[in-house]
Amino acid sequence: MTEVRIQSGDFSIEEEIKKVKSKSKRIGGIVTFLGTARDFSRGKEIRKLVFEHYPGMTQKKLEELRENALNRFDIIEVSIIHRRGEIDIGENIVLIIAAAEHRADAFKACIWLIDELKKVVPIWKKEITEDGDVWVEENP
Amino acid sequence: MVQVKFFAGFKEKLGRGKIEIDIEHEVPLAGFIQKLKNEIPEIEELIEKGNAIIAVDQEVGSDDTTVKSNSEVAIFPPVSGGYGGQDKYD
Repeated sequence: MTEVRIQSGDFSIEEEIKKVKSKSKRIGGIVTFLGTARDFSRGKEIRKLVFEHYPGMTQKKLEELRENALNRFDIIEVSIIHRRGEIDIGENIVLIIAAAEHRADAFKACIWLIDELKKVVPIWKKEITEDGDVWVEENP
Repeated sequence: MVQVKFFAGFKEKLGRGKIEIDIEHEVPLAGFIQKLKNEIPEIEELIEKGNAIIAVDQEVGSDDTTVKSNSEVAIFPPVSGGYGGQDKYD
């Protein structure tokens, strides 16, 4: 299994951390970011979310993000998993794991990774609400 | 044959996820988009008003980008959280 991937099913945070840890005994700090589906957004009750992506470009951009983070920060390993398709309220959406010798670099890398992911990876979110379905970018 | 793909809200507005456009030679992206507008006039409004992102061979295009006869072009709305879009996991 690659260190970055997009999948429809849920992921196990514990399993993913275990995989990252198995890469190196030098790891001394691991920071994770978990994005989850909340039930309220911009004044509306959300029933569920749907994530659509551009398959080839998404994989390419996720791999580039991982490489860039490994070059930019003093970290040992990075893992990024993003779900696609329908996601119910409360479920996991995205997991980022940054592992380093020391915690400071892992924290910095994790923040950078989620911010960049939002900017450059072609994934779109649709909110399913009582009043209909809305692509998030349509409401700036 | 150039494969042109549409995603998210653009796919729904156009009622299709892709179209094939035939070009004989490598052309500047702007010229290619003009040809695409001739095929699908609704594209014009999406590009003008929808802050469309245009990617060629899975990289976001610029003024220097060209389209080859076997390129893959994708036209999509801003990625939520980036390219001027809304935050996705605040």
